[in-house]
Amino acid sequence: MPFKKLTLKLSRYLLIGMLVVLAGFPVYWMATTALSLNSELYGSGQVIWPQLQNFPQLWHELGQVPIGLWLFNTLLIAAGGTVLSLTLGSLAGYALSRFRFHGKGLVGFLLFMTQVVPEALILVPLYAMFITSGLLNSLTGLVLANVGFSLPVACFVLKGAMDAVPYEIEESAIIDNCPRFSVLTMIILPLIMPSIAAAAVVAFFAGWNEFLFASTFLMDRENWPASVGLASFVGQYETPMSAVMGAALVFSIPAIVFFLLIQRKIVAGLTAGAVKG
Amino acid sequence: MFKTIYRRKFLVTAMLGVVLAASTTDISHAQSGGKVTLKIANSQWLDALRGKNLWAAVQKYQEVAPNVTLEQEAIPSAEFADKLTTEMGAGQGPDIAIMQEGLFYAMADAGFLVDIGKAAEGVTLNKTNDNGMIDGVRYGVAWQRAAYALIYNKPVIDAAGAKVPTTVEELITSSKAAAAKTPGVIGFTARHQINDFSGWFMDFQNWAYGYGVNWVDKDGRLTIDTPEAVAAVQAFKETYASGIIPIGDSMPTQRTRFKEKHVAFSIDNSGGTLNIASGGALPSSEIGAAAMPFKNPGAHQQIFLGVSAHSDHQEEAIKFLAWLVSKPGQQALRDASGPDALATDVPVTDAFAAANPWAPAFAKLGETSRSTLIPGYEVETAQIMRFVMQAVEKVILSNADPKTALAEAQLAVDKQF
Amino acid sequence: MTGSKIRSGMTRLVPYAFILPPMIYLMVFMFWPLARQMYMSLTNTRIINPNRGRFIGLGNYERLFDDPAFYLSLKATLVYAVLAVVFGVSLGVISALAIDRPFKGRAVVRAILLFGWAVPNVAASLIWLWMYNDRSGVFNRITEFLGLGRFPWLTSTELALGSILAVTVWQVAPFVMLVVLAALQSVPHEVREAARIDGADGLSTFRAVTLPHIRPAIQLASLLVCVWSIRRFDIIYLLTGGGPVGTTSTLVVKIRQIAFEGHELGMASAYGAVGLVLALAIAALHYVVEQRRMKWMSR
Repeated sequence: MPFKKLTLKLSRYLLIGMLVVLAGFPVYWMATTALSLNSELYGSGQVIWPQLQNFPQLWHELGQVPIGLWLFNTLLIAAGGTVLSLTLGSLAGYALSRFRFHGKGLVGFLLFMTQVVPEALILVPLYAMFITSGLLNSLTGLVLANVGFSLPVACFVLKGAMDAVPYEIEESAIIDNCPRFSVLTMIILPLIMPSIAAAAVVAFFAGWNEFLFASTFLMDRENWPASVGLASFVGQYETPMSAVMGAALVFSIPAIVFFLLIQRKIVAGLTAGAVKG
Repeated sequence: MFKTIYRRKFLVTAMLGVVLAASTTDISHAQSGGKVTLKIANSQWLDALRGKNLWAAVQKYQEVAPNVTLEQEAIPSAEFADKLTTEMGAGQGPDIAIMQEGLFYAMADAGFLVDIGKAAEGVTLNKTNDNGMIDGVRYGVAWQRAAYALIYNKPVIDAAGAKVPTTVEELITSSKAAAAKTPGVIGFTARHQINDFSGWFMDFQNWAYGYGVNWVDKDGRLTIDTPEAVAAVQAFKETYASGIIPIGDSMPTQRTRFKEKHVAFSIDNSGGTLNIASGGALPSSEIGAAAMPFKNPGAHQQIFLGVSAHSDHQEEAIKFLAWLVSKPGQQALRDASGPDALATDVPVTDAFAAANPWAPAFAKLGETSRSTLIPGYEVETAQIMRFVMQAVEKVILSNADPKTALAEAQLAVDKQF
Repeated sequence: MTGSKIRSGMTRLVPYAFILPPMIYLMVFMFWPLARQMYMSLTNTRIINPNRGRFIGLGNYERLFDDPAFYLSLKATLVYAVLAVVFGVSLGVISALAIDRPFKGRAVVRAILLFGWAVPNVAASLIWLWMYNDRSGVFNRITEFLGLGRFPWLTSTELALGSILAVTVWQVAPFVMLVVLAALQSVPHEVREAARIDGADGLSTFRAVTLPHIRPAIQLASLLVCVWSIRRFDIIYLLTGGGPVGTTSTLVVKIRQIAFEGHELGMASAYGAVGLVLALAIAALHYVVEQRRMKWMSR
């Protein structure tokens, strides 16, 4: 028995080790490549350990591009999208969770359909629409376009969580003539914080990642988010691989850090929907 | 129809409501008391090397026209065509666009460019501007013309005693010899992936034209599966199969390898070579250039400047172009453009030629090079060449027979055109 | 009495007050553009003049169904989506099961396993492109070291789709892992303990107890992965551009190609419509299967 338990435990650790390598290696390689010299990358062979002595040069190369500005724009886009998605998503989630009304099935279907639409398909009409409304070349317009995709996801996550909150909790407030909107904001939302965090993460990453709309709708380089900035690095004439990887890392790290900070909440948040009374 | 109109009204109202608190940055042109801002779109502004120099050259115009401010619209080259197409299609975009030939034709064909004949008055434009005239109206002036040549790393081939090839067989032999002699050296770099399509079809024209291909016949019919084309594809296939090309590398990566002294031969244009010659481990003096190993002259990449029909400042834009093709403008551009041919005949400075021994060869080849566009089908060239390059891809990846593959391409082309 | 009557009259409208703002938003920014685009599939609009298309009815669709490239693209899309689900979900489930029980350093491990999802698409495609590089990429260095020679990961008609799948699975498994983990943590411990005490070994515990609890999570994750795969563009386009020989030209890649290279916005919209219908069909299938299963369960 103990021997079996030991082998089981060992194989579990082995499995975990393999998974960690599979998941983490690309990021590790990004770091190693960023800290390599072009001559090594394209010629003598890439060194497999990160060469920290090359860091000053990498820093200098990254300084040539406004990476700080890019990251700031990305942050604005991701944060703006998150706030708007959560606001509209909680409204929709509450409606779907608590009410019955005509067209409820249709609404659910439409919300799902948004997940299926490829961005390239609505690119041109949105572009035309933004021109007429003056939203072109603005981060606001970009946020508005992105939210179309993350709103439904937020809605479903929040709805799931709200479904798990027993009606009794709001009942007394409603009987006391509390407006439904305040019921939502003051009673329900505080109870489903973990799911709000989960929905926030999904919306945040969608905005952080987004490339197609950003590259099409934004004209001025000052408005570029990091995704477009990174793509611009891949030049027509050469690929400065170490600088590219360095920028890619800088672009990924805040996302990873944000993820780490919220991961516990995410798991809890996704759980809340699953547990039903 | 009614529904659309009502929907549109509803749409605008709804959006105005949504946009209420939004602060937006408008695409506006500075318009106060004669002050004008001209926006110039180019993917080259982003070039690590030439971008700054070219912009500085262009900005000299502001010294002679102080009421004009020039602004960049920098779009990465991979997205340039898509972005400009979307912008112009929607009535937006820059005042002046600097475009590759194919895109230039598409823009002109859609009616997005204006007649800029006035800019060329009194100036002797050379033949690089010929394609800028469409149906007797001048829509574009040349910005740069970059001819293609065979470039090589002199020390590497000297070490192997390899000679500069004049045929494809010799190219393969010399490449192999150079690669064998110095470890880590790649024999030959060239575009070879459908991933790289927009650059690949232009590069491939060198092989096609080199073997005497004409994609249209005298009557204007598209001729894809000609014996010359079969020969060209066969030659490319042999080169690909010989193992001298670093399979899977994009052209920027291959150019970076050349810079790091790890490549013996390449077929590239003068712009790419200028980049290779600067800022890498390989000094410019060690790069050589020669005619490509084909019987007939090859191709060139041509870039035009045009003025947008959507621009609010067409007069000013044309004045800028007039300055650009005048002597001071051309001289400024020459300093930043390396050996590329310009709109007027401005010779390369002696100092430049001395420091870059490969430059004169390009100049010579530029005299006989052909456009990558198919005459009469300029706008559709990309679509037509996609069928061709797909055939080439089949030949090099799945060992298809060139004659069959090109015959299929011919059928596809005939169906569509 | 009047007061409550008014209230009940008003309360009927309350749900709409909640649902209208988000729905209006989606109408404006998603459905109207989509509808306009679908209409475009019935025209011969060119991207360079999006307002000057002529109505041509089902002409685009006729050409589409006639074109062998379309069927190739459809096949690539389906194969890609199905395999992404199979491998992505499997890996996600295995990861979730592996780290379900607490151990030292679990937080760190979980963090690392999330990298695939956290790294932005552009960055991910750049590093994988580099790792797949024929001459300098680390994968080929490893295979060469093992004496297996070099592989044309992205340029071979056999390997290209698989290479893209690998990247996709790397990106998608963390999401599946999170969803399944959440469900796992809702399995009451007593139930698991009880089964184990009764002598059932690991595998049957899993099948009898754990699996039913996480099945809905797995299904939801599978559906989402499938639908997202049909929509995925960035990675495929940046890694292979739809090649080699069209083996990775999924529907979305073709849309981009046709719209921006061929300039045929109408035709591209037709492709888009097909993709949309396909995804909806899959969703509908999932819904039907789910309904049937629910009915069967509550017999």
